[in-house]
Amino acid sequence: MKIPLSRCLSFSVYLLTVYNFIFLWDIIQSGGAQSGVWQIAVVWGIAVSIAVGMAGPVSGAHLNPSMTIALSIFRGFPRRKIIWYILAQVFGAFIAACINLLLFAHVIREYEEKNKIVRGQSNSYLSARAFGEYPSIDMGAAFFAETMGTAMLAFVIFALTNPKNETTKKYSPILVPPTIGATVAALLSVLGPLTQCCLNPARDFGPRLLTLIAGWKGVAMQGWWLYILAPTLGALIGAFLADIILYI
Amino acid sequence: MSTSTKEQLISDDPPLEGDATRKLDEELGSSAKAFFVAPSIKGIATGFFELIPGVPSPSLFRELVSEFFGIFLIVHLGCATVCSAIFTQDIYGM
Repeated sequence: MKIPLSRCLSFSVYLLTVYNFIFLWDIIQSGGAQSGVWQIAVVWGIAVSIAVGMAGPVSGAHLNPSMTIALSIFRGFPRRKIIWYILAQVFGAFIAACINLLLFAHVIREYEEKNKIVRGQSNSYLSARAFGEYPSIDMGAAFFAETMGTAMLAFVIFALTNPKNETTKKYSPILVPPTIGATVAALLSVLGPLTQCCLNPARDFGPRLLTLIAGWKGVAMQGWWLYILAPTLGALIGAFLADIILYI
Repeated sequence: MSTSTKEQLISDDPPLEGDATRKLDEELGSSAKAFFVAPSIKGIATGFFELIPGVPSPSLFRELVSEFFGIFLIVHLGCATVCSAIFTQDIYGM
């Protein structure tokens, strides 16, 4: 059983790699490899893969308050640690946003001058969206999109890391970080144009705090609750489907 | 230097004072002293976190550092690519 399974898996990976190269070649030929939603999605996917691989052995690589809460409910993660994990995640996101603001300060100023954007005014969300998230659809649809997206992500994470998942446990644990990264990239490609695809309350709230301090004022906090409630609900749904329905 | 003095300095116990420090100075000189005393600084830091009520234990602290760096990496790279896309005007679709 083991040999056919491993051969099947190897052949799948081989096919996937070949198709990816063909797909990438097409994109490169068309001149769109380094621009657009896919560029952003690929970088997010790579970043998530690296972060999961790096933090996994030490903290379990939650990297997301909604996953921390879901892990506490479905996997027995100690509740006394939840608040500390969330604080560390928000603080990490805040510091990263600070560094990005310093790096891109000059370019942001130029963009704001060119588009007549004054920080704190209603149109300043155009520059603030590089840090926090702002939906381009109505709030109800955005809530649904974020919940669905995070549910899918949580489903993949909980299914891949379930102790009963023989594939990842015995044959290919090394595939877990890139598969999670690829899931994030795929979701971002779909949801990015609609809600900017948050899926992570810390990723949104940390940079939002920075924009609040850095002059965007009230605009910085527009719709902040959506990117906390929807991913948390989505993570619970995804974790439930994976741990209670799929791997009961 | 006696083994016991070296072990005491490397351990997580509070740093040695008086005779032991003087003895180390005499036997090894200041550079070697710094080499052996450095690990005891880690011990002081660990003890410091244990003393403050409500502050995470050293193992939890390590986990939090891991979470911090993990999300730092994600947001730094992720938001930076969004910044590049938006502010350099080479984006379409968002």
